[in-house]
Amino acid sequence: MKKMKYFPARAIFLLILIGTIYASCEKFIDYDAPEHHPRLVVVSGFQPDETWLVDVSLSRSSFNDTVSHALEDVVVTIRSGDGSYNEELLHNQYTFLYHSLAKPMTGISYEIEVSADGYPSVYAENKIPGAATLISLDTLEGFHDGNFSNDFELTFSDPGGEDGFYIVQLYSNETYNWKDQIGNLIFIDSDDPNVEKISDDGHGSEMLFIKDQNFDGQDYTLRFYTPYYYPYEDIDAGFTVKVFSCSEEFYRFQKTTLQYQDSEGDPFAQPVQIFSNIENGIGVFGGFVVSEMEL
Amino acid sequence: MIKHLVSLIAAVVLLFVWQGGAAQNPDAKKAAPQKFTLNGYIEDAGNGEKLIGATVFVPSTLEGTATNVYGFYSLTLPVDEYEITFSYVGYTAQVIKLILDKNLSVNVNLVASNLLGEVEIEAAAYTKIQNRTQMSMNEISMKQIKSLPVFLGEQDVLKTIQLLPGVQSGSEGSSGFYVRGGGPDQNLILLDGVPVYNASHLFGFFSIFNPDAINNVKLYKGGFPARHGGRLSSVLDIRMKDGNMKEFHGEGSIGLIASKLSLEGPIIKDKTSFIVSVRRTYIDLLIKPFIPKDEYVPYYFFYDVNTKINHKFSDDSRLYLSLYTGLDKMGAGYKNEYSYDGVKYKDDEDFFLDWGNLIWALRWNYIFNPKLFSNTTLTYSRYKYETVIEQYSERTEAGLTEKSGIYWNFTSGIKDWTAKIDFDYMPGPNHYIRFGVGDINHTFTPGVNQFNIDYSTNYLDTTFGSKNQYANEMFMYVEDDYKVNDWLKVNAGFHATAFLVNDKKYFSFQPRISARMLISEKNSFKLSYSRMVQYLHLLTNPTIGLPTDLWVPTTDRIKPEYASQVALGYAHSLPLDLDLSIETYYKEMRGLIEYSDGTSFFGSDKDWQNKVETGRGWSYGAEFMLEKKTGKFTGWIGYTLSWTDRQFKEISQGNVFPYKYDRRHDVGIVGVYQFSDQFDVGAVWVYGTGNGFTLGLEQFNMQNPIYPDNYWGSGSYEYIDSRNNVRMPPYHRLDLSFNFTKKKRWGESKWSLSIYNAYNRQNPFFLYIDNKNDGTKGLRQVSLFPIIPTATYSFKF
Repeated sequence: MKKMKYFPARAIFLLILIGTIYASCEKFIDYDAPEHHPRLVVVSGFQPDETWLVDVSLSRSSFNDTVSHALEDVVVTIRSGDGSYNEELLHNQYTFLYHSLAKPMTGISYEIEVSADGYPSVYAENKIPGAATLISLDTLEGFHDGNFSNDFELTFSDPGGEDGFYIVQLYSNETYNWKDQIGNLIFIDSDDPNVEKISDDGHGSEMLFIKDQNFDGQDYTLRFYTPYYYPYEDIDAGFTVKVFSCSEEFYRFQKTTLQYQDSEGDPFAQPVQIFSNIENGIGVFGGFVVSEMEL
Repeated sequence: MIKHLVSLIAAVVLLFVWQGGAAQNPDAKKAAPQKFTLNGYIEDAGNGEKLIGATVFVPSTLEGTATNVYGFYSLTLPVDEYEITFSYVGYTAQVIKLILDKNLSVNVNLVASNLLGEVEIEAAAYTKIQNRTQMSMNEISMKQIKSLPVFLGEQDVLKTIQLLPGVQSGSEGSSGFYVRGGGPDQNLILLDGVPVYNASHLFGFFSIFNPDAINNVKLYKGGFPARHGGRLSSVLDIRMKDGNMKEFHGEGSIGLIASKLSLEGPIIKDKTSFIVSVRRTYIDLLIKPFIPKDEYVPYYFFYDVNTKINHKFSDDSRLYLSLYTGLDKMGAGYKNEYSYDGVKYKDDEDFFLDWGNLIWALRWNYIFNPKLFSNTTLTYSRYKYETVIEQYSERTEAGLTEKSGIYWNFTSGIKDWTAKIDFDYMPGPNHYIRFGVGDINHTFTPGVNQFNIDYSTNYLDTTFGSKNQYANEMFMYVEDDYKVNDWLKVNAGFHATAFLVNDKKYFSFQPRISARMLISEKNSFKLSYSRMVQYLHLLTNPTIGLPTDLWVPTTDRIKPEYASQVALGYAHSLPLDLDLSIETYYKEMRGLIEYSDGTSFFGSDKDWQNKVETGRGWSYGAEFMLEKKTGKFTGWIGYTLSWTDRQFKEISQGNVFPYKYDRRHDVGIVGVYQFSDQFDVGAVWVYGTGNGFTLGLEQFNMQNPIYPDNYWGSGSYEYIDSRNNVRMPPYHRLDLSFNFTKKKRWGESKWSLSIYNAYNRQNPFFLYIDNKNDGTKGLRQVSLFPIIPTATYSFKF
């Protein structure tokens, strides 16, 4: 019932759009696209208890089809703001990532510098925020837009002191008689006004984004539901909730990336500008910490 | 609060009524210099239509006034003998000699004329551009609108408005307009004083205003008088005809896509009149016979109906009832009946979208005394959009019929009830005071689903979706057009509002001031400041006017929109009756809304607040206009140089970005030459810097670090530096029209040949990156309308 909600309007407007395009004139125009100078693309999300991993590649012009590969022969240096850590990362030829055996720590500011011959060096700075403490997780029956759903209530504690940015994910832990437990990422949705919606097509999304602006330093109960998750009756299903406490930059990068994926190919959607905190380049250098709770 | 406001207004009215009476009191005459008031209406002698903005001028004292939107004037002068000139552009002026030794009521009927007499030029100078306090205002005559080239045979008020400096058109063919950097929702479009929430037919390609039913069009871009409020960027005041009081007449036209017919005449001569105008497209009727019965039949049509009745109880009391209703409907239907194995089957399916406005206004004009005019209004405005799917089946076997069906309906819209009272108080030639109070009750329907299933084994009848939202908007205003001395005239006032929604209250005080400084007989400088507040937001797509565009209220989270605008202008009257105006302006807006990145403009219902960002905007620039309103050649040259930017925290990483319609240069050249009574030619040339649009010029690949298995979120992404980072090629177009008019025994017939886009310019509608034949990539442009010639036959009787 819900899927039908916008179908006719959308279908008819698409028909009009297609009809208009067919009836209209098309031509290639002379367009002086600015000369494209490839930039370094640096993507690194770092968390405590995990070693440093940095993905470095090159951007390419949308007007050519060249495929960009991960870059080798790049100098990737990470140093801490307090001077306790300074290391040049090594390239792993199997994973194509730059790595280290060292692990970042919460609350310390780190700076990354990436240099490669022929390209401007890029920089970024970030740190891992304080983790959320998960207090409780319960399930209950819900009703949303004419459908029954599985609802969850997650209570967690915001550490306070600085702006908190959270990403929430739900995994099912399903045990079948033919296979041991598997973890499936489940699409979730929420009517909570503090949740920043990515899409309201009723299908939910792989992450919920929530800021602590209305519960800074307090315990908060988030209610969310699974719009399209109907496990088989004969399986033994459990759930894991992951709460990512993120730096603002990492949060915005994840949010815009998901918005991009969600709206890709929709001619009626606003184009998405993916967030970047890499000076002179593209990508993200952001800290996060994960808290988990099983049910 | 409204109670207090009404009490205050009532007290002021009583005071003014008493003052008006005092002028007639012999005792009062002894105390003050003897002054008496001349008042009345100025009308077209042929049909009794009110002439809005007609001039009443006293050459001996150089004093005068102009009629208000109801054709009423009032001029208070010392006791004496006067020659008073009554004039209006396009009409022969009338000079009346009178001795003003008591209050006089004189209704004047002016005769339409194509030639200007000397006396008229002198009188019209009173309302010449350099003499008016009002700046940033344009008035377009219906005659001009009807002579200009048209798109697909349909004359269009809004498309003519787009040709004015400071007003920008939206995308190709669209009737949407953008004033001084504002959005399409920031235009208050009034039809007989009632707000119109969706002014377009056919996805914005035509406006809902049928020119045959319209009397007067005024556009305010800045220097807003205090009587107007509720939108940030413009007020488009469209007044319908009242209906011919003298004789029965009609006019109509047969065009390429639509035909229209208007009838008007007296019900009781010189007392009660009516006008009815109907317009409908007929492409659906034309294609219907060619589609087999058992196939889906697609259809589209729109219609609109304007009606008005006005009744004159006395010279002091008139009642008007006007109504507009219009509908666009598109969809596809299917009907089939067949028999199989002795069983009869009947299928009936239909799915459609329809949208339209219903507007009515009941107005009562009452003259309390010669100096105090009042207008009491009760109005209703409703815009509704709905999507419907219906599917019904019947199965008849052995005389027994089983019926089943599904019905689904999605409705959204807005509904307003407004009550207001306005007063015009004219104590003397140096003051024109307007004041009033009103209340608008808004009902917003963001989206309601009604679902009905009726099968033999299942029955469901449910309604779900967003609840209606209610809001109350109260306002009051006071303004005075005050002639301080011979060179300085000021219009000062304020508009105060209160908006109540969900237990939240917003108040605003909006000062308005305009000043005219006459530096010589033909030159003046003008200055204005206005602060505007808007409590309603429109969730609209930035390209075309879709019926799904949704009006939503200010809420706890989404605050009102505010704008402050200053404008400085120079006005000069040139020989050959040319008016030159140069205006510069600076406008600052906050509380603006924009769709967030990635949001689709469909399905904006319950969570609309999550789909928008709020931010700020600026617009500044200069407008030049050289206009000729009279004579055989009429038209204007308009040029706008402007900059418009936006800034939103969550868009373009918080950086300032250009507005989609940030158009550096915008030119409109409009001309109509009347060779004779039988033949005239019109031409329009427009040029505009290309619109901004957003394009990912760079791409990158990445593995999302949040997933250890590097599966989710990994892939190729486009990188966009800024919203509206690319400019489309410039837009330009020439339209021509040739009108051949012939007098007939029964009236007048006219053939109009219009050529839209005469030199077949392929203007950009949208652009996208695509593969070329040689394997490289390029920017492909989609253009909508090539050269389109159309012929229209119209008639008058």
